[in-house]
Formats: sequence, C-alpha cells, structure tokens
Amino acid sequence: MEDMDKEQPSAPNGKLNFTRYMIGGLCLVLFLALTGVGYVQMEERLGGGVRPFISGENKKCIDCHMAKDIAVGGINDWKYSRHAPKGIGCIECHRAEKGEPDAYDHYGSMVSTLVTPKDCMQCHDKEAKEFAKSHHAKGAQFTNSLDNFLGNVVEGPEVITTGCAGCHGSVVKVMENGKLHPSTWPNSGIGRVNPDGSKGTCAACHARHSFSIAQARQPESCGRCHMGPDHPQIEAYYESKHGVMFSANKDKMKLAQPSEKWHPGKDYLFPTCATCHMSATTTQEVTHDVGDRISWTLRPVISTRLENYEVRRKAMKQVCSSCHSEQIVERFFTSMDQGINLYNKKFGKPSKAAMDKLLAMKKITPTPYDEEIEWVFYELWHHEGRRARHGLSKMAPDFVHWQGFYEVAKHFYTKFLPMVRKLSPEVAKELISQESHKWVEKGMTKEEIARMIEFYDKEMQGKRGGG
Amino acid sequence: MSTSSRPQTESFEHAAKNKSWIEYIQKDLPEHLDWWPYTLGAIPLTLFGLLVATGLMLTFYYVPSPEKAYESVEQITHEVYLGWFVRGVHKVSVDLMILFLLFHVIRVFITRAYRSPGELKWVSGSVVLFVTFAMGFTGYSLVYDNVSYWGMTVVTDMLGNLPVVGTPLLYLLRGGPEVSGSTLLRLYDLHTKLLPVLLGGLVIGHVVVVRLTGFAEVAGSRGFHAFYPEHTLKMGAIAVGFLVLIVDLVMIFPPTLGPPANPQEVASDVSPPWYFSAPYMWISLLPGPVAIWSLLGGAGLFVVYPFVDRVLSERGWPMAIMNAVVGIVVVGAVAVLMYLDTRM
Amino acid sequence: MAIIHDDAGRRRFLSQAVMGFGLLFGLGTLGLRFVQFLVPSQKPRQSEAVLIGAESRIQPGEALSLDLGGHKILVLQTDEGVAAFSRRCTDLGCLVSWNRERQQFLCPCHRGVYDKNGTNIAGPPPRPLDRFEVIKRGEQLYVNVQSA
Repeated sequence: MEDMDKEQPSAPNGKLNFTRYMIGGLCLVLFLALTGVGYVQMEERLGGGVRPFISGENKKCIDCHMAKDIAVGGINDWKYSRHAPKGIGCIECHRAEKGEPDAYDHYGSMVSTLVTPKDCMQCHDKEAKEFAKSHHAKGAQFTNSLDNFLGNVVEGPEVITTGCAGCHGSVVKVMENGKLHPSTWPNSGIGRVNPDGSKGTCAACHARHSFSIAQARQPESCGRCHMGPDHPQIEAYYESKHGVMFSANKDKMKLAQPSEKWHPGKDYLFPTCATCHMSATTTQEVTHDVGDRISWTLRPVISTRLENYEVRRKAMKQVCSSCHSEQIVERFFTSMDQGINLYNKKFGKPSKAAMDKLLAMKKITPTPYDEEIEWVFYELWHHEGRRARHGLSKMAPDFVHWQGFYEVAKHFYTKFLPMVRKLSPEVAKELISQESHKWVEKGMTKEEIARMIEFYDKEMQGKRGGG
Repeated sequence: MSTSSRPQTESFEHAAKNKSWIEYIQKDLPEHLDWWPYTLGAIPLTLFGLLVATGLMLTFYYVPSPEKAYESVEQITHEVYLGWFVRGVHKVSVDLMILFLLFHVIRVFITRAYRSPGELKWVSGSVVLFVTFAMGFTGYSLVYDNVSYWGMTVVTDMLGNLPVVGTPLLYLLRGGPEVSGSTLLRLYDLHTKLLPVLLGGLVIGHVVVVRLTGFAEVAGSRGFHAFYPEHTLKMGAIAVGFLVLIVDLVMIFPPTLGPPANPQEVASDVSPPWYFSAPYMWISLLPGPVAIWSLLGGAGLFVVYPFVDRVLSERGWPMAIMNAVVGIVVVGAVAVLMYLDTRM
Repeated sequence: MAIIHDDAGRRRFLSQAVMGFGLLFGLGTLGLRFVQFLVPSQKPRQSEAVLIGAESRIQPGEALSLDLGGHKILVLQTDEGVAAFSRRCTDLGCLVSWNRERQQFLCPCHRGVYDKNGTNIAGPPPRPLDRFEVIKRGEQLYVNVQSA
C-alpha cells in the first residue's frame, strides 16, 4: 500500500505544513531565547577588575618567583594595584644601575631591594619633592635628641631597630654583597635614610605592593605611628566627631577616587587625616608636605608657631571651610589657640624654666633619665602635655581634659612641685608664682569663691544642683 | 515489505531520476518511524552536531596545560563575551545527548530491534555508546578542577587494573606512571581529535548499517513513511525544539566551575558526572577485582546481546517479556545506585 | 514569481515561508551568537592618563622609552612640545627606535626613516608616526593610553 500523496506535491498535506509551521514557530522562540541570552550577557559584569599587563622582562621575574614560591604575596598584591594594568611592574621600580650602593646582580638583572623616593620620583616627582622637604623626611634625624638616648642607652640598641626605626626610619646600611644589614632593615619608617641619599619611603603610607590610594587615605595608615601615650592623634581623631562620622560612613567615602574627584564637602563629607593635612580641596592641590597646613608645632616642651604660620593657618582654614561655616571655623581655632597658650603659659614654660634652673644649680645631674624628677618632667610635656594639645587640635574632649590637662595638672602639683621643692624651695616658689597657681598654697578668698558661685549661677541660670 | 512504486505520471519521470538517491534513502522506511519512541535516535545525532560546533569554538580559548587549563575555562565562563553561553550549551548538550542516547538504547532493547539480520546495528550502536562515554570522561577532565583531576586519576587507575593490557594502557593514557601535564594533553587530543572523528565515523556507520539491514517489523506498522520531506522536517522540528530547550536550560543553569585541582588532597565531595554515577557506586560498593570484572562482563554481554537473544529465542524463551524485565531491573538498579551516590 | 492559485499550493508556500523566516531568524541569531563569541570585541576600550613624570625628565634630543600596558612609546621633545610617539612603524608594524646621532626614528625592517617630529621622510612608511595624547598638568606629564 502506497501513500501517493508524496508524489503529487500539489495535493494538500496538512501534516507537513503543520510541521513546517512548528519549525518556524520554534525558530522564532529560539530567536527570542537567544535575544534573551544577549541581554543576560549585557547584564553580567565582565571581569570587573582590570587585568595586569606583564611585559616580557617582568614576566621573567614573576614566573621565577611564582615557580619558586618566593614572595608570591607581593606579586599577587601588585596585580591589584593601579600600576599593574599600565605595565609598571617589577623592573620599572627595582631596576638599579651598577655602581649604586645597594645594587646587586639577581639572576642576570641588576636590582636593588630598596625602592626609594628616588625611584618613585621617576614618575611621581612632585610628590617626592614635596615629601623631601617635609618634616616626615626628617623623621630619622633624632640622633642627638633625648629620644635617641632613651632608646639606645636607657632601653637598649635593639629597641632602635624595631621600635624607634619602625616609625622614624633607620639609616640603612648596605653590606658587601649588596644586601641590607639586618639591624637597619627591614623597616618602612617614614624618615628612613636610604643608601642612595634619599630620605623616607613612599611605602610607609602607600603600602607595597598595591600602593593603594584608598588605603593611604585611611586614618590607620597614619595611625600606625601617630598614636600612643605621647601623641594620640588617631585616638583623638576617633573620639572626635570627624572620626565618629567617618567610621559610620566609611562605605560612602569613595576613598579610591583620584584627587581631582575627591574633594571634601562635595565628593565625600567626613574628613580623614589626609583630608586636612594633605588632600586636595576645590582650591588647593594635594601636598605631600604634611606640614603645609600646620601652624603650631605641638612637639616640644613649649609649643611654638611655625614659620609662615599665617599662610599655613589660612590653608588649613580653607579645608575646614569646605564643609563648615566661617563662624565654626574661627571659634574652633580660637579655642585651640587659647588652650595651647594655656598649656604653654601655665605648665610648659614654668616647668621648663624650673628644670633649667635646677640643672644650672647642679641640683640634678646632666645625665637624662637617671633621676625620677626627669621622668616626671619628661612625661609632663612629652606625654600628658602633648595629649592635651593634640586633644585640642582635634576637638577630642576626653584627651583635652581627663587624658590631658587633668594628668598634667595632677602630676604638676602632686609630683613635680614637691620634687622641685625638695631640691630647691626658691625654684619651687617661682614655679608657682603665676596667678593661676595661687590656689595651691593660698586657697581661694571669700570674694573669689563668691565670684565663682555667681559665675556658675549665671552659667546654669539658677538651676545649679547640689548645695 | 512492499517496494516503493514508480511514479506514474510523465512529468515526474524526469524529476524521479534525479530524486533516485532520495528514493534510495527512504526505500522501505516503515510508518512506525514516525512514532515518537522511534525518533529518539535522531536526537543524539543533532546534539552531537551541536557539540562539535560548540566544542570547536571552545578550542579557540581553551589552553590544555595544567597551569592554564582551569584559568582558561574560568576565562571562558566569566570573561569571554558569551563564553558562559557557548560552554553552557556544550555542557547541557552532553547531558541531554547521553540521556536521550540511553532512552534510545532502552527503546531498542525493549522492542528488540536488533533481531536478525540487524545484529550489527546493535553492536555498532554499543560501540557508539562506549565512545560517547569516553568523550564525556575526556571532556570533563579538561576542566582541570578537583573532580577532573581525581576523576582522571581514578579512571586511569581502574583501567590500569585490567589484566595484560592494564599497565600499558595506563601508561598510554597518562603519558607516564602518574597523572601529569602529559595526561591532560593526551586526553585533550583524544577529546578534540581522535574520539570525535571516531565517533562521527561510527555514527555514520551505525546509520548506514541501520539503513542497509532494514528495520525490524513492528506490529501495526505497514505503511510507508517518506524520509524526505516528512522525517527530515520532523527531525528538524525536534532539533529546533531541543535548541530552544537547551538555550533556556543554559540561561536557568549557567555553567559553573568547581574548586581548582588540588593534587595534594582529595576532597570528600568529589563525584563523577551523573552518567558515571552508577558504575562509580558499583565500584565503591564491591571489592576491586569483582567490580571491574563484573563491569567488563556486563559490557561484553551488552555488546553481544543480540546473539544471546537469538540463542535464547530459539530455545523458546519469551524474549519480549525477558527484555522488559531485564530492562526494568537494570534501570531500577542504576536508579538505586545513583540515589546512593547522592547520599554518600 | 508565479502566482500560486491553488489552495494547497498556497498553504504549502505559506508554511514554507514561515519555516524559512523562522530558520533565518532563529538559526541566524544562533550563528550570530557563535560569531560574537569567536570575534573579540572591537570596541575601543577606555583610555587612561598615565603619569610619566615631570617635563624635565625628557631631555632635549633624547627619547624616553616607555611600555605602558603593552603600548610601546617613545617620548620626545618636538618643535611643538612634548610628544609621545607610538613605536609601531606605519609601514607594517615593526618597532622603530630613536637614533640620537641622526636625531631620527629608524625602522629596521624596510629602512623607514622618520624625523624628530615623527614625519615620514624616507622609505616605505606612508604616513607619520601615530601619537598618543600628552596631557600636561602643571609640571606633570600624562600619556593617554587605552587600558589593556
């Protein structure tokens, strides 16, 4: 039995037609599905991160290091840096010329382990120049200071290597084979004296090998050194409103933006250390001289104004004005200046004068740190006094008072004064000769008490509690 | 079976002479081929074509070295434009192809289509099946994730346990005593060069054999079913339907990657793809030699089954019922083994 | 094209047309997707300004050789200021080098010569050397390159 239909194409064949329609319809569905595929593809973010570009030379370094599993972390870190997609790799920074003090032959290439500001300067010369003239670059130059004696002699030379040099930087010594002496390296202290004569290391803040600007802008980058009982900048910062707001809004900070797109008040709203001391504003450029906007030095026994302090103060005020009104800015600086002047006048100058006199009178030995009064005085200005001053500069009330002036006053009156008195009553008398010290010996007169109560009454508008 | 008739009208005579090769193809094509269980064989064929196309495209990006393999697959999946799609189509097509191949085998088994004179259909088909499994194994090894690596190790180890041919075969596959870069390269060669050509040839051979030896009689099927255009159109519709299905499946289940190969440590959750799940459990449950010999024996029995059927039929065994029973038992056992694999 | 008058023929034509269009769109798009997979994107990738240092880094008469993200560049002082030349010879793509004595770019493959402004003056090169945009911000120089 034959089915003749196939031989006569003009005869209607519903089944064939149906199948053809099926094919056509399914194909259209396929077309729609494939369009969906294209749409899904667009939605997906391809890759996301930038790929590192590895030149032929650098490939040699990377392949060998990866194969031998040496310092692989640094390489993987580099891959995420902004240097990597531009092909700025190992050789570009570690290349050294024969004859340079720290150059050595490494499997056929002349390299130096240390990458100093001189190397970074090839491209980043503006930053390097600014840094070189800053106080940061002088970090290791405390060889004649008390601190050096404290570290080296009182504590021990090993403390210098990891303790002092860890922040301040060491003087790096190169051994015969070009390698670096272990007592002077590794450290990325900010004032490190490098064999090529340059000072400092960019990696102190821009940690290698990712050299991330976002990381450098984080307060912790500064807080690594700018912390502690003698200058609690980061602690004071986190106590201050600025720090609180920063912590609460870190994800909105856009820390990775380039400086043209990272202006306070516009692109982000809560300052980090970098904001005030370095970063660009709408009218100022980035500066790697961290002292450019600082008008006081809070470091010594007695705080003084720095050179050109009006210009510096103006620059700092401009940063504040990015977010704040002029009134707030003026009043803050007034309170800060007044507080520092208080410290200077009431505690700093008198105590220093007393110690100078005692030394001249040979009541204390010239050797520092061998008598208790020297420790008390040291901490008075170096620790408590500085804490108070840094608290003032950062609007950190607890550091101004409890951790600052309270302890200054306490040690001044209960420790320092009696010790001075024991050594020389006249010096002690002069120590507390100011009006502000009179209360210690004389107490308060009836009128003074009355005035004080009246003041508080007015202050509290008659709502003073207690009796 | 009836022969096809010559066209009666003059006007078709001329066309008929040119159409004689089509006539030859569809000579004696029985009606029952139009019924869906009998179209199952065409599906793996179309999917094979899709696999060859997508596989060829994947070779434009895949790198067969242990250092780069995983990375290149990751690149394809996450970075290359539509890479996830091409890889996804490839993966989904493998699963569907093997699934429908197994359906086809079951159908042929139940309907005993291998009866004389068509035993060669079955034998050639069983070789196709084994080579397909080999393609699945070699293909998955190329991803070089943990499953790939340990799968490579275990399977080549098993083959190494075969008597006489075991060790040379192990060395041949591995390119040495241990799994190494040579192993990956050889499996890549097998998967992209030798086996696809072999499989293509075998499939063509299988179809030719089917054509030449004809179709076993099926009750109720007496009419003539034209290959062109009926069957081709139907195959076309099924092919497009499967394309739609695959594209949808790829979008719902995009391809993924397991953790990269760790030669130091076997992860406890390494298990082979589903189509190897049952033999894998079989080997895990039974002691080594017993498992291997029973698998080998089973495979051998599978290949020569048409002849076993012939011998038993002559003895009066009711093979139709036997096959149904055997089919149910085997499928059931496989299902149980696969289930156990998910639990262990 | 013959007009199809009979019913069956028309229906057949219609179904064939639908099938044809469907195949065109369906398989055509599939083919398109496959081609898109194989051919890498030709979209120009975003360009980035890469800091290369101060202008004083470029000594007159000397070329600074840089490799930024795969782009090989020679930076030079020209008559109109600092320029960043692509080292790809405009003839057939070999790398040109800077010859200080002759103050010219020389291509070793077919002896092409460019002057210090990048203009092709001898040999097969059909046009001057391509340039990368140089941006000056204060003292700092940046070169605009496409990211790899």
